[in-house]
Amino acid sequence: MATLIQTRGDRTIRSLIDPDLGTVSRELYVNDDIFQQEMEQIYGRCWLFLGHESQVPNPGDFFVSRMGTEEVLVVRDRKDKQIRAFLNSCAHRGMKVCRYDQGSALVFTCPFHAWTYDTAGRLVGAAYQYNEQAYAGAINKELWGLTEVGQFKNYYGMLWATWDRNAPSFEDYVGPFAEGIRYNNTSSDGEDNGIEVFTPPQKWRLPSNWKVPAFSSSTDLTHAAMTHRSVNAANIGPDRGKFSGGDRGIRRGTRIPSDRYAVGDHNLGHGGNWAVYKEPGIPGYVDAWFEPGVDEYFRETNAKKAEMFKDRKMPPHGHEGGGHFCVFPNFIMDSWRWRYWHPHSVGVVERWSLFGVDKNAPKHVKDATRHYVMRYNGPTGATESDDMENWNYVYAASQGSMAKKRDYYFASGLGRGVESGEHPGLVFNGTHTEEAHRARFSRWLAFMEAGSWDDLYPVNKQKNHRIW
Amino acid sequence: MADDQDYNLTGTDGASVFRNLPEGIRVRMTNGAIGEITGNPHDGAYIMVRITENPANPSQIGEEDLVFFNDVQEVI
Repeated sequence: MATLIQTRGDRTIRSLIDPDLGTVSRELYVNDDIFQQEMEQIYGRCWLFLGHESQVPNPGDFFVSRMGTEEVLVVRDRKDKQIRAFLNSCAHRGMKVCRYDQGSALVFTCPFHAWTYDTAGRLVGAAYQYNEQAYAGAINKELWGLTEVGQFKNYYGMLWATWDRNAPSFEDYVGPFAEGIRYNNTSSDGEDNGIEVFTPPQKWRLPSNWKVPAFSSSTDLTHAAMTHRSVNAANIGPDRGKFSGGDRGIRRGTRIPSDRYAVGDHNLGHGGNWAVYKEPGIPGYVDAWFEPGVDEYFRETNAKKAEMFKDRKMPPHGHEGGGHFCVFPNFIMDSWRWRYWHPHSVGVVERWSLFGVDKNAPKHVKDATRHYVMRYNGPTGATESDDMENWNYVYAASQGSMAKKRDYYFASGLGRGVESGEHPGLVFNGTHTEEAHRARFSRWLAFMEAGSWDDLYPVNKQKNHRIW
Repeated sequence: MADDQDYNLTGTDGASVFRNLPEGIRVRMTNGAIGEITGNPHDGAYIMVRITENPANPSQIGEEDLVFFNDVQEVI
């Protein structure tokens, strides 16, 4: 456990969260010692989202992603066609072996001393490897390949990895959210593996701690009333006011009856909006597009999906009801965008976004979808630029000696959460409460205190990480 | 030579010529082995070669290996 020496005296990690008051010290967001410990104990252990298989359709295709502060090279092998992920750092002297964001390669040659790796990460060459005046053939190539991730998972096309070989399986890691992840990764007709993503990912850096957006920019329904008031009032949201301005919880007249909650899994750290559907089916399609021919396409695919669900209830994270949710620690998902936050330092985070589209959709539908997500998201998007104002200035206004004396308040709904019983640690609360945010801090503390996965749920089923 | 082009690996253009060597042509290595280029990552460092002759080590014939530019003597 780290001991911090700060203006408020010696503090343990646990003392920085007050579960009775519902507060969190700002030290969590501005202290570099804490940040370094997060990289080791959270980003070194958790399953992290890397990208989508459609980014590497052919043998030799690759893209560079990130796990915490480190770059990883995701590549489809030319021989066995499998996708793997490796630390983008030469085993010889640490230089990046790949300096391109994406592409196709025969091998990856380090520009420093020409150590060269094949698309399965094996060392296959090095400058002067056979020269009698140099290595004289003595390099044991079996030992000097690229560092491969501890575990890798292709989950219905979504690519995930963890550095920790002792981490639980991906399915156990996401627990009751697995079904929602799968559902929000289907094409609009409900089929698995029907998605491709627009590339490259949308990327930009923010002068903020990674937890500011990653922990609390999902399941924060109250922020929309103020933060997005102007864009909603002006009806310049992405749907141009057709659904009462920026509200994409659409199809109000045709919604499937449900009970809605904000849910936080205090044992796993995930959380988000959650709907318990009372009837089978999906909402009927409501025309939403101004571009010609797009509604026709989605009306047809929606009918196919409705047939698929005529006797099935939607999972709790169906876009039509469940809204978005966070997979601990840094991934926020809904049916049309996947947003992940890569920390660079205690005060810098890089936001990446991927947007899915039916891979079999005609060009005009893909174009309309791409334009839609660009109108909404990113620094030039009509709605998400509002959020950036908050994300940008929280850090600046929180790191001063005076500001650090004030704790953040996460008490909305505190004490009113109800455990599901079916899944230990899964707590249901009102839709506008901060239950999901609190769950992330329960899990955060568990990781920061745990010596290994043996101290963490679900590897250790006896553990209860809920602190509030 | 596999075609009519002059693949001169020496001089100021040598690095550029090496980077763009096409598949199918044959090269002689500094150790006397001869092989056919099976791939070129176009990084200027390596070519992938299938060994077709190697008087010093006949067992290597048929093997494929990455060959560093410094170990390539000439295109034949």
